[in-house]
Amino acid sequence: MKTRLDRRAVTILLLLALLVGAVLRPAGYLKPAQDLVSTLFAPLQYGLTWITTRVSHLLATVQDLGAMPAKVSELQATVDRLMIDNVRLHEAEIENTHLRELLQFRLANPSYEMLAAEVIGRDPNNLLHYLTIDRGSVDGLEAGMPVVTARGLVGHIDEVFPRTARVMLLTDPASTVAALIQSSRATGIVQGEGRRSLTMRFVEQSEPVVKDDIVLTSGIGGTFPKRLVIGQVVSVHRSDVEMFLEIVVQSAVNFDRLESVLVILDAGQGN
Amino acid sequence: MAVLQTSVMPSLRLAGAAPDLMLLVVVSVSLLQGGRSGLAWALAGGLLLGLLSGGPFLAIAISLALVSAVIGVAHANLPRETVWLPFAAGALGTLIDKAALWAILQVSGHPTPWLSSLVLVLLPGMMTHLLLIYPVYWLMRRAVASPGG
Repeated sequence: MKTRLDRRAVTILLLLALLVGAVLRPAGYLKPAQDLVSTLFAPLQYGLTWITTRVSHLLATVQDLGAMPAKVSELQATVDRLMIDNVRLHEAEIENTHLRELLQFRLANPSYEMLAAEVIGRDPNNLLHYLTIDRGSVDGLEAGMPVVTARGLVGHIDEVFPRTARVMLLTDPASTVAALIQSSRATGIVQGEGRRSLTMRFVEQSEPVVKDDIVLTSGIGGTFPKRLVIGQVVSVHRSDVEMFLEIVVQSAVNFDRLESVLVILDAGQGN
Repeated sequence: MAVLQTSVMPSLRLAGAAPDLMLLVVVSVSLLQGGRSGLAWALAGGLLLGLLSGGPFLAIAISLALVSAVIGVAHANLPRETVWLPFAAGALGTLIDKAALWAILQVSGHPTPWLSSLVLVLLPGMMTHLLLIYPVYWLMRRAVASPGG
């Protein structure tokens, strides 16, 4: 009974205080009380706000972590896709460069009728230097036709099948090409040695051959047209007891990286 | 396998030498099942590769057959389950194969300088095959069960 009375009294007092405050506040009479309350409460507010902010940050981080694996997966998939696109673009760029080189060679040699071919295989015997191209007799190929790239002479067609052909590379030990030194016009024979460099033989000792001279086909014999680049002189071996020079020639073509070539269909007419 | 040998293996050059997959298979089968089984693989593989090669038609078949014969002797006389055996067989097989091929080319009118063959083909080939013989041997072991091992 007494408690209920106390409670009712406190309620009435509070209501009265609110009424009084509502009346006094517009006139500014409540200001001192407000100042006192805000001063007393400020530190508490500051502390609680600080704690609340940290807790909400923590909760947000935990939430983000939960979503992280999915986000990482999504980003990884994007990276993978972009990498594949990048590789495809790079391949297209390389192919574009090759095809431009071949086209430029064709444009620079309009007198030759040429057929482009892709390299599709190499000889299974590592001691031989042949490669297989994807053109054959149905495309008009015949044995003996010269094979070139924009950089220079590759070799010649050794054997033809209906849809493919085998090309003997310059580096094959059985390969021989009639050649001349561009500067001195000295003639000789370039032979394959089973390695990347070639050897030019039967050039007389008196001929002025020096390093970096360009070696071209001479057209003698009719197999290869004239003025196709074979390579560059790397070294010249002179000997008093020999009749001829031994000239090491670095081929202009990188035979290990051949992907596409041109077959000259009418070599005889280009001479 | 012949297509792999001509189209894929040249892209996998190690130390300048393209791996000879058929040789490794013949060596592995000869070690696992003896010279006769190896000979079958040598002749079949040699036939196909001979058709694709610019050299003498029987050159590869003969050299692989020689390899299978020699390795088959090892199969009969040496303990099977030794770690070093595939490596030794790979090295020996490479030596026999390249020597036989070189000799056949010499007599068939396609001479090859011995020095460049040794330096550019045999030695790099041996190194390459030492790296690859065990994976090929393991694969063939799974594919062709050995009765003794």
